[in-house]
Order: sequence, then structure tokens, then C-alpha cells
Amino acid sequence: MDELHMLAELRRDTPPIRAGASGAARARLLEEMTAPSRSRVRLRPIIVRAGVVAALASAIITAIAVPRDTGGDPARPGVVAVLAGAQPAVAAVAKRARTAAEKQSTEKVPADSWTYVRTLQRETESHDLSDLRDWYTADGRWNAGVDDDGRVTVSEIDPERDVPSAAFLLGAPTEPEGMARHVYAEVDRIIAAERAGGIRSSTVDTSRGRDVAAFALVKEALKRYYVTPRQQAALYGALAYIPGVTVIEDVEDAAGRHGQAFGIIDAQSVRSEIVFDRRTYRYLGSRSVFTEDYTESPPPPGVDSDYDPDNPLHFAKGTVVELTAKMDAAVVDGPGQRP
Amino acid sequence: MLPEMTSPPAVSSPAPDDAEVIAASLSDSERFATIFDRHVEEIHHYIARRVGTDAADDIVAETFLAAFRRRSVYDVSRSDARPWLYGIATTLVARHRRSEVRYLRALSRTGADPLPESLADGVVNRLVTHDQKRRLAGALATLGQGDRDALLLVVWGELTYEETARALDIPLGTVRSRLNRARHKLRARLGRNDLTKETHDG
Repeated sequence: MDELHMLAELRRDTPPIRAGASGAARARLLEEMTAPSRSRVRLRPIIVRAGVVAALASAIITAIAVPRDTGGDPARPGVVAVLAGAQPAVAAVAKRARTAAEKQSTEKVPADSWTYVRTLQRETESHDLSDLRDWYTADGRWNAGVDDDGRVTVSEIDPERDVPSAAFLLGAPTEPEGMARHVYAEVDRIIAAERAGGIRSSTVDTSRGRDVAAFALVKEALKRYYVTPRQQAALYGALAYIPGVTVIEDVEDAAGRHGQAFGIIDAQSVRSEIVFDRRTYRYLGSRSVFTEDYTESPPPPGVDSDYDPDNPLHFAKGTVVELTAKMDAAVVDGPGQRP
Repeated sequence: MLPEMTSPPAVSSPAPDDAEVIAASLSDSERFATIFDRHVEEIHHYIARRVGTDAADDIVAETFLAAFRRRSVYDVSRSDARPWLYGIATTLVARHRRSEVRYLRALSRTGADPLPESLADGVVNRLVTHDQKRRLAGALATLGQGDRDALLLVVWGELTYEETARALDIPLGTVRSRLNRARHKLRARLGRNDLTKETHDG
């Protein structure tokens, strides 16, 4: 039996939708049809979870004096209520990165230019190393890929499916505090858009609180896109304004390169890390690792969860759940072109 | 129950296809309930296979709400709305990626599928041995989201490559290369015997 036939059998016997669930879904649809306007905001369970997670995080990350989200008003995207004070250890690294960047010429990336990024990604289960090559225009409007036959396919990007967009970096501030505000404004925009159903796919997980999401946004931008040295220094500087971010001494990326890292620990005791070269401050890669033995505990009553008491999720301390390396990033002549 | 039509339909006239119903729902929104009634079971089954029945109940409701809100941009040259609905469902499933991978990992580690109450476990076990099932689930968990989406739309949703391209809003060539890559990975994993090496935290 080949793999597709086997796959066709897997979970084929999943039970059909229960009448109650079907009726509830139909009632929601009918309510929507007869509603006078679409502007009603439904509070999604994800928002509830975010609050719970923030509370848990405060118990784990004891080093932070006031472990709380920095506020913000998702109803008014772009308005950052309070920006936490910059943390000296992170800010110092960012300052040195800035000094290093200033030795290079200022670079302006035109909005319509094509950029190329090559990434190595260690798959968590199989340990296979994937070698990924992606092309994007700097304005986030187009992407391109090369398929197995060498054909270049250019596609228009749906902004609802591509979060964060490369456009996040276009014209972004090049100093730390401005970049921090830019980051939180984008996180608030993402949260608001998710509530309104305007985002269909995002790699920034907002369910673990606003600060962890801000860190994730910076990490995704560094991981996926071409970033100029000055923007890179500003993104590092922005991390200093995110409560809970620390500097970690020795971390290895997917290509086996060693560096220092910025990290933040979420409520699952996973530390998300941004690895950089300790001399040039160039971004090297990303890693996520369990900092403690983790066994999922039951959710508080009333919180929507996929928790299964007979089979709680377990990860041993030190389990690496994400490992990548950015091998190449450049402005290129066109889609499919390499530097 | 369909709302009144402007002219009485002839006794033998065929039921309006999805495109006609969706077009009619632009002026008479309640017509859209027909789309729900026609496809809710199939779309739910696809979602439940991916993330479990509990999460599927909510996602399937969201799917039809999103479809309803976007009905004005539906391509009425497509008489069958299923690829469109599968596409919407797939993007909503992507938000639950954590639970999907979690299910697959649990099945891969323990062989016990955490999806609730199987109706006919024996049937599956006869066709797919326990070990193969574990390896298959483990392999599925390692696929990239885009590769898994394309693969499961073709195999579980039984969409054609062209319908899959439309559902995911990607070029046909990309569907082909995603499926190639996904099948290659599945084959590689199924051919292997030592599971111990692969389960990271076991």
C-alpha cells in the first residue's frame, strides 16, 4: 500500500458532526445574516487565553520586577500606551550592533526591489535539515519560489495570509525606541485584525501575551526577510524595551554556528531565542528550547483548550522545538536570482 | 427551507448550483443557508480529521461565517463551492497548527490517536498497521504547514490539483512541488524502521 492510500485511511472514521454542533454553527450563521451590521466584535477565546498565559508567565519569570503586559489598546492600533524602560544588558548589545552598523554605508532598499533569503531549518521530529530559498519584494507585495524543475513562480501576496509582511521593515525607524513603538503598534494591529477576522495566517503567535508576541515579531522579521545592518541594530534595540528579554551566552544555530542570543521565556517554559554573532552582531538564526521539564496542566475552568487528561503533552528540559539558520540574505536583480 | 423564489420553479428544474445560490444570496442573504446545509458535514469531517472534533465544531462555524462575509468575491463561474470552502477552512485550521501538530505527535509517540471516539477502529487497523500509523502521523507532523495543507486537501478533501491551487490561492506548479516534497518525506519516513531515533523526547 503506498503512502497516499495509507494516508487516505488515517482517521477516515472520524465521527460526523454532532447535531448540536451543526445546529449551533447554523444559528451563528443565521444570526450573522440577519445582523444589521458586521461591526460587532466577538471576543475570541484566544484573547481569554492570552490573559491566562500572561498570568502564568509572571509566576515563572521572577526576574522581572513588574511582569505584566505593557497595555496598549487593540481598538486603537498604532497607539502604544506605555513603553517599558529599556533593559541595560540588551540595550548595550544593541548599541554595539549600532556602532558596527555605522561603519558600513547607509543602505536604502527600494520598495520594488527583490530580496533573497536562504534558510536552513532543522525539522523537530525527523531532524531533517531543510534548505529553503525564498524571494520577496521589499514592499511585501510579491513573493517567488523555484520548484523542483527549476521553474520560477511569482505570486502576489495576500496581506491577510502573510503576517508579518516584509513591508513591516519598509521605512521602519532605525533607532531603538522608535522601532520598539513600531513593533508594538504592529502587534496591536495584528491582534485587532485577528479579532476582526482580517488575518488568515500569521507566524506571530499572539496567544501568549503582547510582549512574547512583540519578541516573535522581531524574530520573524529577522528570520524571514532581508534586514539592513541599521534596521537589525534597531530591532535588537527594540528588544530592550520588551519586558523579560535577556542575553544568553552561548547558543548554536542550525548550521552549527555559535553566538550569543536574545531570549524570552513563555508560559510553557519555552525560551524563544534570536542568535547573533558575538563579534559582528549579524543575525545568525533562531532557536526555541524548553528550559524546564514541561507537562501540560489542565486549563482553568471555562477556558477553551485542547487539553487531554489521558495524554498530557510532555517535553523534557532541553528539548529543542525550533532551530534555523539564515545562510544568505541579499538584494538581488529579480525573482529566482541569487547574489 | 428555501425562501420564496420570484417565480415558481418548474417541477422538473434542477436545484440551483452553488454559484447560483451564492449569487442569489447577495440580495437575499438567507439563501446562503443552503450552502451551509450542502457542505457542512464534509467540511467538518475534513477539519475534525486535522484538529479533532471539539476544535472542528468552532472552526466549521467560523468557516461558514467567513464564507458568508466574503460571498461577494466568489467566482460565480465555479459551480461547486467546495474548493472555496476547503480553502477557507484550511486557513482557519492553520491558526490551530499547535493543536494539529500536537495530535500528530501524540499519535506518533504512543500510537493512541487522541482524536475522540473512533467509530470503527478495527477497520483502520486492518488497513494500516499500528506502526505504520505512528510513523505516518509522525511524518505528517514534520511537514511544513503549506505542504501538509496541499497534501490533505488532495487526499482527504479529494480535490483535484487545480482545485487545491484555487483553494490555497497558489499556482498549480506550487501544488505539484508541495505534493512532491510531502510524498517524498512520507515515503522516507515510512521506509524507516527505528522509531526510537525519531521520537525526540521519548
